[in-house]
Amino acid sequence: MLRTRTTGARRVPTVIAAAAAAALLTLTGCSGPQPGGGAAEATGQEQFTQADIDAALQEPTELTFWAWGAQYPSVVEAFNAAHPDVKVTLASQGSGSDHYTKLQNVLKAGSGVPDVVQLEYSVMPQFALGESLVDLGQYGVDSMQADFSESCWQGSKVDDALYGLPQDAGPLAMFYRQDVFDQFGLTVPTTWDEYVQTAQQLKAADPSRFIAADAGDPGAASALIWQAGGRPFQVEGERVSVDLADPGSTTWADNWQRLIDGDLVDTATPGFTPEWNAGLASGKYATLVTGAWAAGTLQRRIPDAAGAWRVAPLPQYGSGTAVSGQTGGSVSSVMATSEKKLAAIGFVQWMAANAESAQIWVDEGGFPCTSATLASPEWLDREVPYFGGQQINRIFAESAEQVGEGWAFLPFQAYANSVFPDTVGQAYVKQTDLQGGLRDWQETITTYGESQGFTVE
Amino acid sequence: MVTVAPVRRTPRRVQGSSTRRWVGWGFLAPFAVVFVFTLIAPIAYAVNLSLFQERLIGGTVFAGLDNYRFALRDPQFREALWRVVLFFLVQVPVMLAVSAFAALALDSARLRWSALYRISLFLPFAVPGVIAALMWGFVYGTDFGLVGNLNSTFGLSLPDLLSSRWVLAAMANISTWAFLGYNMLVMYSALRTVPRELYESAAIDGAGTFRVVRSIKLPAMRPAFVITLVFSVIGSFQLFNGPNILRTLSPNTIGTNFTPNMYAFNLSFAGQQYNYAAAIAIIMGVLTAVVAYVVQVAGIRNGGAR
Repeated sequence: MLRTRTTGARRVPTVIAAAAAAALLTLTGCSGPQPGGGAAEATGQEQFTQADIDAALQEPTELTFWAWGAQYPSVVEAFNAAHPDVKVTLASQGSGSDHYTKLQNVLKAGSGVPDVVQLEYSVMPQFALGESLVDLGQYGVDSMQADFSESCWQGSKVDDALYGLPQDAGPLAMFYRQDVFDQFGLTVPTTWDEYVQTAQQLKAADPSRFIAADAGDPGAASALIWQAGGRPFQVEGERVSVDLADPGSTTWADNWQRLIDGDLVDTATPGFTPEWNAGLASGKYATLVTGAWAAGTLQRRIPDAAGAWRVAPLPQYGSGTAVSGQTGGSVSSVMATSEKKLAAIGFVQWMAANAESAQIWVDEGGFPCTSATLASPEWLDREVPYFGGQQINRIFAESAEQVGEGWAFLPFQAYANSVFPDTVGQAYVKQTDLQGGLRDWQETITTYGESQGFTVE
Repeated sequence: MVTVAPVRRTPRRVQGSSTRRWVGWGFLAPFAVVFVFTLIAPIAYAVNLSLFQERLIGGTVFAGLDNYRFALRDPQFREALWRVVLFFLVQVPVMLAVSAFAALALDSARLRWSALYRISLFLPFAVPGVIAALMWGFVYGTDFGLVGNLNSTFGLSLPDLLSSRWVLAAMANISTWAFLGYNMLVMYSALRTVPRELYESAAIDGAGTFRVVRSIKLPAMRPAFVITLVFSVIGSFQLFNGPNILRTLSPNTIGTNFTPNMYAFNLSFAGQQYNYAAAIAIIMGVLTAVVAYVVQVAGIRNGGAR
């Protein structure tokens, strides 16, 4: 017994140390010095011209570029080949949230920040607000407006300042399985009412199939609210207004609730998981409503389903003028901390607008933002074998023109999206309904916004 | 002369004793440097972080204990905390009971190939936590995974183990699988230290197998129980890897505040609320240390009372 007591007593400090060390595991990632407000742009007084930028591309320069899009390796390779003096190194930090987490960490640490980054339209305002991005307008890049489609261009601006050049876009469309529609004698829906009816028919014919997989995705939900005319987020400097009970949001919620209530969508399978892949490959899901970039995603992720998929215009809420929304799509931004801003801007310009780059982009299944490509008959008429030789780009291009105006993302959209499953997601596991979920989401967003010093109304 | 001698002697003595004192620090230095830089400094930094609030608008302000006050009232944090307490209360007794049974079985000398059992039970502990979570994620899948295969092959309808009803049990299963062998090994090594003569005396006194277990083996395992319990307290309160990975498969049932650590992680990396996350981490660290200490002291006291 005595032995027990002494060994036990000696162990106590070890125990506390172990507990404390374990607690620290959650903290190690948070360390790092203050970056001093993100090194504000200091070159505002000087005037740079396109000639300066072009000259910078003749100097020996090394740039780092963080991006995850599948087309970037080829684009960067082509840029390096065309510019012998400049060497761009592409680094992938994982897609989506992993990429942004890494970026936030290096910004906080103040070292290891890349020169150029890929940022989705939804996340760009957050980094712009943190003064982490170069306002390209100060370098005369605004003059490129005509090179890009209107919705891409607007998505690259915050408060009228240009924080990147648009690279790709995600106008909505409906991908569907022609084989499944044929097998069950379904007709392609053109309105959301028809979509729900089609879903019911499919369910009645084969209960193991669903019209779609949707476990709650903030990007997709926002895009369909956008289509329904909702403009839940409005931002004016430090004032943010959030109204997830506006008519558009409510229209979406009422419509989508029917699909959840009828078990017509598979709410147990989140996107981009192995289960989701398997379902898309097997025909378990008859449709996929998402951005045009999914044409490339499907071809890469599910090559075996070649010939089975087709594309149709997005179903509409009413019978009036067709309206579309957008999900995903990104800009290339130059970081404010970069010491090679001119060359970095030159690289971004080449990537976004050069004809060679644009060609690589669409050849590898990316959706373009350049007006020239969007209007080119060669691209529009392209028959894509994976989609049974369908001219899918015509449908996407039409959708891009129908994207509703005036949408804005929150300056902390990444956080808002991270808590979407905790709030709206609860409607998918039937703990609440979508309207209730949207109310909870609004509440969480408001609390967070206020804690960050915004005036939220 | 008489007065000079003590004066001379006094500084010498002081010098000598101070040298001796510094020699001790010198021996301690290799440990102390590592200890200060890897433990004290990060904790001090975290405490410092937790006293401020950094906002997107308005910059950094000193907040005193505001973050702590907010945390104690935060329903999301409380929910997360309650969940890991529940996890601890259910999973740990089951795991330790099975570990103890396995240790006794191995020690009973009635098993053939006991080394094989020992290594097989211990093997999951060697699988990295991330890999284990991924693997179980595939097992649990109702469409793509083993559960799905069983369902379709045998026409069963096994429940979705990642639904809100089952998810905590699914996590407990992963933890039990991973740490059973480790705990078993700690208990088994405690049993191996029992002198053989004790069993001989017990046999001479006419004690049967169960009497030996109750009167010799279980008491001998007590220190091992205490230490495995302490590790389990830490493990449960700091639960992170498994749920964080399975979250991609079931985001609606495994929320961002599923465990306190996940809550701190999301606040910090998705919400950039480093300061509030630091406060939560400190609270969890203190809480874990206190509970672990109470378990330890209670274990010793009961042991002494016997």
